[in-house]
Amino acid sequence: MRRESLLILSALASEPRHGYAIIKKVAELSADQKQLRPGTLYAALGRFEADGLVEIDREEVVDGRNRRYYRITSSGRRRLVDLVGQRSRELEAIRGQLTVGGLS
Amino acid sequence: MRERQTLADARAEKQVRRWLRVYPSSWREHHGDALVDTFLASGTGERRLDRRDKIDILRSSIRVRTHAMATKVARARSHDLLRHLALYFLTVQCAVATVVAWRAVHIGKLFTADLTPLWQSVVVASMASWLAALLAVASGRPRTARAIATTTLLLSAGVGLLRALEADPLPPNATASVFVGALAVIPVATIWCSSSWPTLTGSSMGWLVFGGLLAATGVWTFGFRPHIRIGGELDILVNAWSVGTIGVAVGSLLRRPVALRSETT
Repeated sequence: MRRESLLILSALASEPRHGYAIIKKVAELSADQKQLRPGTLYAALGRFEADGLVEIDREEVVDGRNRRYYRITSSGRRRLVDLVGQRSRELEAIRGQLTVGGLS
Repeated sequence: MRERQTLADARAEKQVRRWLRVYPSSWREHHGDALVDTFLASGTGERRLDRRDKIDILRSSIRVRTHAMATKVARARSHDLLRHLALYFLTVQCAVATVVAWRAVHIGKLFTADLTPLWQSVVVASMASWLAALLAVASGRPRTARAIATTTLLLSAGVGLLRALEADPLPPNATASVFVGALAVIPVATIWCSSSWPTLTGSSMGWLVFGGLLAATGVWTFGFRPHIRIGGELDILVNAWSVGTIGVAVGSLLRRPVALRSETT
C-alpha cells in the first residue's frame, strides 16, 4: 500500500471526516510533506470503499453542496494496524542496518 | 463581496465539473458532488484548477478506470470458475443419482431399504431432475438450474432420506443417506454462487442457518428413530429445511464478491 493510502486511512482512524478535512489531516500527519489532491483522495476512497475499508458516515448539505463524511470500518482498522506494524518492523530493520554501518 | 465569491465559486464548480467528465459516469455519480465540494472547500472562493490539479484528475481517473477494469476481470473469472464447478459437481451428482436410480429400479432398494414401485418412481424422477439441472447449467441458464436443483435437493433429501432412514435408521443406511444428501448440497451451493440472484444476508441468514443446523443435528441424530418422532409426517419438512439451509448458507458464503486485495496504486 502506498504512503498516501496509509495516511488517508490514518486520517480516518480517530473520527469520521469529509474530503477537505482528510486532506488537512494528511498534511498534518505527514508534517506538511504530503499535500493530497482531491482527485487522488477520491480515487483512493473509492477503492477503499469497494474493498470495505471505509464507508460513508453521513452526508450534509453545505452552501448548497453535498459534503460527505467517511469513516473507517473495522476491517479497515485491522488493515491499518497490520500496515503500521509492518512499517514499524521495516523501520526497525533499517535502523538496525544503520547501527551496524555505524551511521547512527 | 459575498456575491463576488459566490460567482467565483460557481465558475470554479463549473470548471471542476467539466474536468470530472474524464471519470467513468458511475464513479462520477457516486463521488462527483463530494469531490466538487472538497475542491471548493480547499480554495478561498477564487480557486481555479491549476496545472497540477488537472494532472491529478487525469492520473486518478486512469487509476479509477484501471481498478474498475481489474475488478470486473476478477469477478468474471470468479463467475467462470463457479460455472465450471457447477457443471462438474452436477455431473458427479447425476452419476450418483443414476446409480441410485438404477439400484432402485433393478434391485428395488434405496441403499439397503426396500422400495415400493411408487418410491422407485420418486428416485427416478429425482435423477431426471438432476439431469435437467445439468442441462440448464450447460446451456447457460443458471437461474433455471438453480430452481430445478434446489427443488430436487429439498424433495429428494426430505422425502428420500426420510424414507430410507425410516426403513433402517442405523448405519450403513443412515450414513449412506447423509453422505448422498451432503453430496447433493455441493452442486446446489455452487449454482447459487454462480448466479446473480439475491440471497438472504445478515441476521436472518444467521438464524435460518442456525435453525437448519440445529434441526439437521437433531433430526439426523434422533428424529428418525421409529419410536421418537418430532413432528410426525412433518419431519419431512424439517429435514428438507435443514438440508436446504445448509446449501443456501454454503452458497451465500462462497458467493461474496471478489475484491482485489493487492492495491494497484
